Amino acid sequence: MHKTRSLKNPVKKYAKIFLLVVVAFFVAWVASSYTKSEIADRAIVLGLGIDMLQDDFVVTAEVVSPNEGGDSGASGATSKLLTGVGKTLPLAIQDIFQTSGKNPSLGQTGIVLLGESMNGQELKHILSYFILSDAFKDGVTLATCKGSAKKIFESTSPVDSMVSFALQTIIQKSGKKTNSTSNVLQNFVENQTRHSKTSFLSQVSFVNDGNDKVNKDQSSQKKTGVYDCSKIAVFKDGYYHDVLDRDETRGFVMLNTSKTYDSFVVENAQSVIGTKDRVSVGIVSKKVKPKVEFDGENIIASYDLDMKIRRMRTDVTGNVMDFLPELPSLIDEQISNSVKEQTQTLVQKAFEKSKKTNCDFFGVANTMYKKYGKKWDDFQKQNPDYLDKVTFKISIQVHD
Amino acid sequence: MNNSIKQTQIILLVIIVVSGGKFLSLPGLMAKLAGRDSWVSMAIMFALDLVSLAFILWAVYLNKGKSFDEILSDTLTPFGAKLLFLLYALFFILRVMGGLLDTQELISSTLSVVTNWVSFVVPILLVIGFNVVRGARNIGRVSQIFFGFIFASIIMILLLSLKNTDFSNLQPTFANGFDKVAKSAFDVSFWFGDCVFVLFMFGKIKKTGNFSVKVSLAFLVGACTTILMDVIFLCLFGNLAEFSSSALAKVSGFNLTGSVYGRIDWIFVMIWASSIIIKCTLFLWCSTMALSYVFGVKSKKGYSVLFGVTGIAFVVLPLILPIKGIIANFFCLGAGKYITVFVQYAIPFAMPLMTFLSNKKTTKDKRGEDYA
Repeated sequence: MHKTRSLKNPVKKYAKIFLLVVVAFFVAWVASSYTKSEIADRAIVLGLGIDMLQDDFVVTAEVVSPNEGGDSGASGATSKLLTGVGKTLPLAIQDIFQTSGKNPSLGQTGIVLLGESMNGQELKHILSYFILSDAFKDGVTLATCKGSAKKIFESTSPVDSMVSFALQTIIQKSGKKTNSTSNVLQNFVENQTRHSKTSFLSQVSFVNDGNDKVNKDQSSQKKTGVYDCSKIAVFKDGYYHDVLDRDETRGFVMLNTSKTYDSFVVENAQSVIGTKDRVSVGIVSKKVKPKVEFDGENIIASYDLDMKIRRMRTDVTGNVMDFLPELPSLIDEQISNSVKEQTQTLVQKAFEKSKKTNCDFFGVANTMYKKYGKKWDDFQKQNPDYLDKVTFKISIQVHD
Repeated sequence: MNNSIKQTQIILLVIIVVSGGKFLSLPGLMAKLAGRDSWVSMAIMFALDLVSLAFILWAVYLNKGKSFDEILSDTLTPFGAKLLFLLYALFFILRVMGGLLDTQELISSTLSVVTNWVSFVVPILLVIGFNVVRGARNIGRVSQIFFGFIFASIIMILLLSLKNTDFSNLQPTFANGFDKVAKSAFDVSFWFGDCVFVLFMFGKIKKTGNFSVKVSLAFLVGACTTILMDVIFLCLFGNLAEFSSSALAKVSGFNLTGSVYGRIDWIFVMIWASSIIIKCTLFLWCSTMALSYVFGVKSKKGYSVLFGVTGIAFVVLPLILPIKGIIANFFCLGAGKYITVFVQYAIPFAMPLMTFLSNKKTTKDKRGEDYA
């Protein structure tokens, strides 16, 4: 028995070693089959600027790269700009890889900025490149700008040297407090496929403050300034259509979302200390109820706007606060009426702009289709300029 | 192979299996067929599945400890039963193959991990094979361990998306007529009928009180979660939904506009992906059982050989055949759906009758033996 065991054991031992070798080779083969993507070879894209130069796309990417030094941002991270040129958007992005050796990682992109030169391009088709990707965030902030997107990315803000973060904060977060509005990539493209075929984007303008920043190595000078996002650009059928001025934008935003803040100035109002003075009031919360329906051969688009306002105080930053404790009223009838009148004027301007430019940025056709389905389809086919038949109405309630 | 399984494990498996894999390419495919009403097509198929499950549970209630193969052999003759098991094996293998191909696409597109099919599927098959050979109870235990994480990740994805969902985007309902919705439901029937796996548990379920009610409720939880995910997907992506290859990756990534969370959605997606592995394991266990009935295999070694052969087919077939195209064009939109509908729905609906006849035959045989 002892002899048999001594004969079998070496076989078992070699079998085990053989098995281990096979497993080791298998693991090594599986591991080698996965395409390596070293973190040091990647350029993590925070923001993208897209411009047209004659017939070529110029893509500017603000990137952070783990093994690359650069200007120190507010968060302590570093960022650099990489540029790619190509006949199509994918080719321009690929060009970044070819010229820098870095693989652009687009999954962290927070903002896509379209330069003014993109105004003549059919954007629905161009941007679908991002939409079809599962890795690219569909909720990324999309904005347009005055001038070149590259120039915007080459600038810097006094409070945030990373342009992507600065713009995201202004458009997406602060937008709710400053009466600008934001749009996201997916909504922009999807809205172009709906019945209104209209989308809107915040328009970014760079305002230089003159305190330009010189890099440590004196190699370049970055323009320092602020980003004005108080205007909205509207797009129709995939193309840039027009820009709403400041008042039209305020009127549009007033009805577009219930989460956007605005403030008003009322002259000769009763001040807290009893004198007649100029006071400022802000919207605390608002509700918009749109009602769009057929009226014979015409369309009535009526909006019920209910606003809760308060006098602005030093501690009021424009935050939209849904749940506020009841306080003694400081809003008298004169203030309410003034705010109501101002709102009426702003909204009317936006209505007029919509009809004048034949651009359905209030989404009348979308709402009509939801309500009437095929009936609206037929109507829209027969009346491509249906906005001529729309009567806009606004009813405003202001209270504290 | 230890096939005994607890009631709780069946309940968790039902929830995982009903929703597992349905957040990948299916919502996009359904959106292509039925547009914004595709969630109604999904609801129709789930309603049909619930009725089918009710018939299976009725058969479980009538069953007197017999296994699925015994009932089929008693009622359809052993040859008929073997033929049917071949169809079941084909159905389960194709479902798993389709699911894994979708998963490979999800991982390579979201995580930018590019690899070949062989390196992707072989490690997964090894894990699945280990569980398949160890038996149904092992799969049940795995489901118990992973269920909490899987369900929590689904809830997180849904909660992250709810705030931006405008449910009015589903209107107008039936804009293109109900016929299109009903037809598209039938066209995607291949991806439903998941609860047939319970048939393979016949005679091995440790039932306690209210088994049928609890399993039905578990099914409703899985179905409602899946429909809600589809509704959110349609509301968020509207006309672009049909171009998406993975609804889950789209929905989970949509709301992460800020940089605070990074790509937390990928963590949820990867946790949820484990439900696909559990579902694949369960379905491949069913296919191994089906093939073992066909070839008369009853030992662990035999199961290993059968799974090994199935595994080789898994690795090789997608390399030489356009499996996704075959599934989409033949088994979804083509005549192949009539084959799978037979095992997905016709057999479950006939199960109470077959169980009743099988019981009757046993009683008759027993009486005959007693008389002799």
